[in-house]
Amino acid sequence: MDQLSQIPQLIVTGMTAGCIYAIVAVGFTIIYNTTGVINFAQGEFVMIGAMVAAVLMAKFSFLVAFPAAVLAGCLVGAVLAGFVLIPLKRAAVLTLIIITIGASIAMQGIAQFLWGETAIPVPPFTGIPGEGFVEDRSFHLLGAVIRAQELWVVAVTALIVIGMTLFFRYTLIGQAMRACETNPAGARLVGISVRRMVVLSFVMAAGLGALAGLTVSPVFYARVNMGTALGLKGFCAAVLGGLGNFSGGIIAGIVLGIVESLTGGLLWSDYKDAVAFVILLAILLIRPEGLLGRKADQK
Amino acid sequence: MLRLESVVTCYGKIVALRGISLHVDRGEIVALVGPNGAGKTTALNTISGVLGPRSGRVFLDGAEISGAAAESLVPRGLVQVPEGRQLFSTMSVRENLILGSYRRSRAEKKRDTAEDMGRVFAMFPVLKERQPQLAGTLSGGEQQMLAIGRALMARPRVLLLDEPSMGLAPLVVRDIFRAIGELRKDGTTVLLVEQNVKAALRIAKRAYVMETGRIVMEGSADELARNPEIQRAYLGQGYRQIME
Ligand SMILES: Nc1ncnc2c1ncn2[C@@H]1O[C@H](COP(=O)(O)OP(=O)(O)OP(=O)(O)O)[C@@H](O)[C@H]1O
Ligand SMILES: [Mg+2]
Repeated sequence: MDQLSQIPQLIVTGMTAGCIYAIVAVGFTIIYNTTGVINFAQGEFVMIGAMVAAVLMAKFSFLVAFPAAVLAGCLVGAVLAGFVLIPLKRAAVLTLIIITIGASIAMQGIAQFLWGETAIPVPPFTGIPGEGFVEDRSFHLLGAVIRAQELWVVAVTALIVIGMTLFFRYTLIGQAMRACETNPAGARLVGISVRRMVVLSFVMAAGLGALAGLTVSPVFYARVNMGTALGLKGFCAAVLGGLGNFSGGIIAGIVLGIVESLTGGLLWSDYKDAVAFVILLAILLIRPEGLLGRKADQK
Repeated sequence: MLRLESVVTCYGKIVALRGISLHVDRGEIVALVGPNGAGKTTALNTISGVLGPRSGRVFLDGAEISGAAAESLVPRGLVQVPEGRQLFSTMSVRENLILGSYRRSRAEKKRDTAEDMGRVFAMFPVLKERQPQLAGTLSGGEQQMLAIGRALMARPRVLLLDEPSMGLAPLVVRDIFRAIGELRKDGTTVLLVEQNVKAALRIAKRAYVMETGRIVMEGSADELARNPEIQRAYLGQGYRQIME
């Protein structure tokens, strides 16, 4: 009985994690929608955003740390795009995907070398000002404690979702990016530089990942190995939502976070991380096109 | 306006163009005809920069463009309506047209996109009704109209058309050829690849005949239409059905 009273709290925690999975899924979707490539380094962009923000926050104001963290993410995204692009002319999509796995391992190694392995606490955006460790504001709702930072996470996620949806639907660049995925040969014939769009998609996905990282780090700390699990779960969310489908990935990400949190809190805490993969396998067996995907995606 | 000098293009070891030379003057409609596998598509793709020539040179307005990237030639006024249309099938008709004007400069675009779209709709009224529909769900004829419309949105000075009548019903073919004829009034230069030789020779001023990677005949359209060899090979009974 005691366990049931935890449910609201577990949902709040799961929702926060789920938002991050959702943003990672958006990153997967942006790159997939432009290139058809699944970028397994997506989780590392989150890590870079969190780590750069954490390290800089120790010395500078967030006015410096936040833009620097997002920029660092964008820069790494551009470099990765360079690695993916150089062989792009010939390489099969599978080769490119393997390159992103290699890049992910390399980024983690470099990060570990630069920043070490210890988790770094990060002050919340709107904490209670004071000496030393800054405590977050929090309030109670239906038996759960909600931290202000968790609201920030939800707000940033919502902004990203709305922003990306509008961007891909209504801006010329967004339409050009979709055109590259639908028909790269046709895109070149209307004068779109497919390479430029690929670079842009990596930069955007990386910047968003970094933004997610710096937003979530006050809740979960910043750690150099945080990217692996986030990347894989974001990938699960993207697939569950039907690859290439924004709203699908976002809903799947949030649902995944909540289900995971409930499973971990109420049933078997040791197997919390396995939940995502069990669901993914089940879905791939029953509905290979994802939960919200189109049935036949003809090209 | 457009000139090819001994252009050779290969797919690996297969030589598809064995040194072709041709030219299209400003405001002309020139037809490029020949049997399947002659190398017509290869020739257009080499001009538009989709393929790079092994040797020989391609000139646009006197400047060499051999080997230039396809996307860099669109802002220079060279636009291709490719074989297979290459539409953005998961995007709407309207989005396809807007993307056609992708490389027009920003200042021009605001003012002119609507005007250009109006021109395309005047040419192909059915597209106007289909604006929100996904390009992949259009009929074959509508898709060809959209492919031409998308190319026109770039305001081409030289338009390369690859078999616009392929697989279409005679009435639709007539609409499409009428539209190509209208382009001449705007002074657009056209290089037209066609299997429908009769229709092509009717609309073009001059024509080239290709066979197995070579140009085997050239001349004014009237001259070629009267040539007995052409008549036997391309303008026989079978072709009358397509036209009438
Ligand atoms: N991608 C390719 N790889 C290898 N060979 C090719 C390729 N594309 C075309 N070819 C060959 O090059 C030659 C010319 O082909 P091309 O497509 O240019 O002919 P075409 O005149 O356009 O024919 P059609 O009227 O059937 O469209 C053909 O022999 C064809 O088999
Ligand atoms: Mg052809």
